[in-house]
Amino acid sequence: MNTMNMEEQILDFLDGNLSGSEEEELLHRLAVSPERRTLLRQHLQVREMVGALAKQQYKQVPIMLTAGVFQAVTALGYTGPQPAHQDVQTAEVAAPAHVVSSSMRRLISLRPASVAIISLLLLLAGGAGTYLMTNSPNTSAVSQTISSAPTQPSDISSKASDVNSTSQNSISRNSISENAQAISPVTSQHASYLHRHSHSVSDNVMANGNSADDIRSNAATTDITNNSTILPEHHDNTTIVKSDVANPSDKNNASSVKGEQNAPADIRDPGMQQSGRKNNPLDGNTLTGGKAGKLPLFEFSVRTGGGKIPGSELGYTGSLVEVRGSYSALDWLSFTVSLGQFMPYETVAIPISNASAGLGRDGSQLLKLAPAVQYRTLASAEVGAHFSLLSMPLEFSVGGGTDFAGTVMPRASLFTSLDLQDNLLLRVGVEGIAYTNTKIGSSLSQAEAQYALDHPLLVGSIKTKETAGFIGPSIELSWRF
Amino acid sequence: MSEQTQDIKIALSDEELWSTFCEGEESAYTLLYYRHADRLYSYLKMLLSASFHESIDDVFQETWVRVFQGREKFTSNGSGSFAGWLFRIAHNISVSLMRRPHTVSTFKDLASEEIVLRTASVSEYDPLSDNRSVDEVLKILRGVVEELPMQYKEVYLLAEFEHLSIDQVADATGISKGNAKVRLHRARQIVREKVLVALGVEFDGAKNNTEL
Repeated sequence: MNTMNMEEQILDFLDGNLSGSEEEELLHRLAVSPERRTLLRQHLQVREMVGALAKQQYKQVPIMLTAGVFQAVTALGYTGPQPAHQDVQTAEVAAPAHVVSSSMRRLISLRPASVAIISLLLLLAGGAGTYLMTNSPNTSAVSQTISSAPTQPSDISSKASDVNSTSQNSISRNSISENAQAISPVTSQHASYLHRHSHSVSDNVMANGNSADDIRSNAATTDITNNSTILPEHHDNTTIVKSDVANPSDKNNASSVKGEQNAPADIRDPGMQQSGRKNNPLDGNTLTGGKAGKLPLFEFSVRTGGGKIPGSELGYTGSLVEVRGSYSALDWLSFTVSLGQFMPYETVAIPISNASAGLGRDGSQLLKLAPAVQYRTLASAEVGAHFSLLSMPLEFSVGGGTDFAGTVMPRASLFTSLDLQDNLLLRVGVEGIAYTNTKIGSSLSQAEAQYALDHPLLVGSIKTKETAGFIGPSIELSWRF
Repeated sequence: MSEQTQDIKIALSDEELWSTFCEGEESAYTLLYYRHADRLYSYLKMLLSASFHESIDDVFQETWVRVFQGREKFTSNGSGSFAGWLFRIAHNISVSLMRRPHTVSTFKDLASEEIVLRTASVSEYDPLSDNRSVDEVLKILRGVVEELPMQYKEVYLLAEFEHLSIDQVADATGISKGNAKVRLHRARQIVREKVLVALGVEFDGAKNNTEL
């Protein structure tokens, strides 16, 4: 003690290296000397500064350097897990509250088969609804679609005659006016296309020799578009499916005769055929559309869905909520961009309670790898193809998204649609997003850095990457304009 | 979420992990890497930032390669710690780096009295002003630490920044415990004096060491 100068004694005191008697002696000397206390205070302040500097200067290893290390040791025979090849700066350590608790896991523990079945059922239900409403026995074979806009009464008459000639059934003039009081809204694939491809109000011509004037007289008092239903007395295979009646005073309104079969070409507006109709190469149907046919080119929608990724031990591995904007380049082709909140479950390093673990009694912070929900902004671009299968309108889309953190996420979906209103659609289907999460190592590194002073220890299993995302049912509400 | 999962029963200490690695469980190497990589990298950034900045990555990578190759060279049944051994490897590689042409031969060379006196000067720092921000003060401190003579600097960084015990510091630097302690005291003294001067606090170094 005597050989040590005061500064060394103070430093030893701060390090806890002095014995009890030495501490007493030092404290006594400090008590009687303001200069010595000043020296102690200075060292305390420097220590505080050094602590702050140490935290400030704590550097994370660049990802490329880590990759280089493991490349080097792999060349020497290393066969263990490879490190994460992601920017460690973007690694997220989720809050413990986000960890899926065991009870929550049980609650949402859907098996992959269950998710697949639910998705398939939703898809079939949507398609079946569309099919049944289009092909209901009560709505058989009466209406025909005229996807053009006759400008003269004579045009209507002539087209009504065409309809009559092609229809196997007929209804009376009176039945039109009666049925027009309450006709259930019906949606069909072709009605859907009509809605999509024409902004004008349609006339439904359900005539058996009715003249254009008759039609107008029926239509004058009733907006059949939203009041279509089937009266019991017309179960003789003669029903009105759907009627969109134009204002008789507006001769430019489009006319429509709704039918379960495509209308003959001769009842369609020739001009539309030339300018607006395009063939859907996917289903072979001739559809009316295109810019010249007043296609609603744009669509705004809100989509949400969720599910699990095959192979995951979790019952639920992700969900998505997003807004979407679509542009229909062709009848069968559309482009979509979307922006939303993607919430996948990813494995991250999280702190665990030392008390319950029975480990870390020395005060060290225990860490474990566990799935936790991550909140990511997802921007996507997709290309979609429209086609029909068993009269079920389907849309298959593929594309990719980014979370603005370097992760590219491929995605695909298969949807069918139901028209709720003229410009409002409900889509149901299956959505899938899958990607490789390689941020586990970064997360571990981040957590160890966070608890660097607490001697962090990892318990449990370790892995360096995983397949994340989800495949599951989705629902979408769309507005066309 | 099911790829490349390997179970490590319980990884508690570095030394136990190292034993696991030596027994063939190479996942333990990955864990040790993640546990110490940032510490080692931060240490090297401070240690070599002045004259050997471009060599930091090389020293870091070479250190971990030697760790991988050193299964027989380190055993945890003695008193040595894995951290001490790891930093010892980094120390040796750094010394080798400095023995290259156009550099000083050893850390000891850097610690000559002339260099100590030169690096202890604070003429390059601005006079103290009362409204210095925390960042400014930390910048001054960092400059002081970076310009410590190398033999003091590495001991100071290991003890103060990496929180290694004096035994581990001695292990890492290959010197005796007493020598490590002396160097650490000397480094702390230099840091305090230089920071005080940089902050404009007048002091008499001789008085501190003798009359107090």
